[in-house]
Amino acid sequence: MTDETLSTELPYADVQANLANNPTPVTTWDIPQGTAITISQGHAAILDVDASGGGNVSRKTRLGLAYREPNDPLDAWTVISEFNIAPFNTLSLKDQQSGENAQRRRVRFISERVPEGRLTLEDADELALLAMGPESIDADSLFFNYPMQVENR
Amino acid sequence: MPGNQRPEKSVYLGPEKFDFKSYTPGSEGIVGTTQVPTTQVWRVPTGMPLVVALVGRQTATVTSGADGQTISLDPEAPLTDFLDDVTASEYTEDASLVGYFDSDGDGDPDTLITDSTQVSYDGNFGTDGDFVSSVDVSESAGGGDVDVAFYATMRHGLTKIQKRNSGKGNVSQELQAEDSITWAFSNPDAPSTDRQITWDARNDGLRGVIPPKFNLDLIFYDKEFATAVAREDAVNVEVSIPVSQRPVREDEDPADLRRKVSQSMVA
Repeated sequence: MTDETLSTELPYADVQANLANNPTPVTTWDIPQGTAITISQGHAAILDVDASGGGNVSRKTRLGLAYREPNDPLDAWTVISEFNIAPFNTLSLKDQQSGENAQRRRVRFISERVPEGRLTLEDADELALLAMGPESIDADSLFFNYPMQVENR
Repeated sequence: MPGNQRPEKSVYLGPEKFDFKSYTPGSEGIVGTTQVPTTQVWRVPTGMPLVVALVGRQTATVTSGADGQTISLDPEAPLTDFLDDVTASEYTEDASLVGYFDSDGDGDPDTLITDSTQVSYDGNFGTDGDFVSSVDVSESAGGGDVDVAFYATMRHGLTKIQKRNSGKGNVSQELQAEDSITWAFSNPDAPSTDRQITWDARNDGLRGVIPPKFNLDLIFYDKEFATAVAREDAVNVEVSIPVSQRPVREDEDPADLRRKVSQSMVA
């Protein structure tokens, strides 16, 4: 088990724009063969994104982490955490690197769906960052970063 | 005291210690390498702050006689805490964004842009949060369009540090991995914020031992943007990696040590 970062910069991350007014993935991570990743709640997420026309995305936008197991229907993402865009809009990427103002950026998992506050995803599972808002995002501007643990099976 | 009984000392690996290589986007590649001296052993001092800021290059053309021409940067340049800041008039070769222009028409932009050169900054910079998004420059000679090149701290991709066996087998093991942006916005001189990146605690024990003749590599990955660390004008590459160095002991066999460490890396 090694500590790594779940990031939009990873080779197996697929970044795309969402559909306005639909909860759709903006990033999917297709877990590579032979590995398992574990994410736990309580860490601060780092995120930066612009709306497709430039500028901040609407404050109404909700973001969430979700997973999909193999053979689940294509749109059946199980949402495990939902959070608001506001603290990410207010703080620059640089300020988000500091833990001093992290409280509103800490990720909490929905306890019925992730009982222990830890979720392990294996080979062929997918993890996604979903966005639901009145406008679509600019996929090129998206940056997301969250601690994870990686295990080689 | 015989030489090989000397205790460990701290050594900082700076950019001058690294041999930089060019990079093609799309796959992971080694962009910098340094080697442990044949008579020394390195150990990772866990908890010590690290600095790694690679740079990318972008080019543009300044119109002859331009007065305040705006050049947009893509990708934008992070305003890195530990480097000079162009937006505060620090027009040095060490800034997080450094511009060069082609002063003699040989097609190679290699003369530093300041506020008093033929191609000069007029002091206006477009910023977007903690990034420089555009630069305003003027051209005073009026003898034709001038090529310029900008070297900016990497914003995209992942930057990793690994140790690598030399010679047969070529086993490698990753020691640290962060997003380039996290490296760029780290602050090695401010322990009270947690924007310091420090040597990972998992590098304790045998994992953190780098025997004689092993390589320490900087690895970069991005789908789209390349580093420009191999170019001779890229002097604003900033690397400061602390390691503890000690001589090989009299009762140690470097080959044995290498074998032992290599075996632990395969697992």
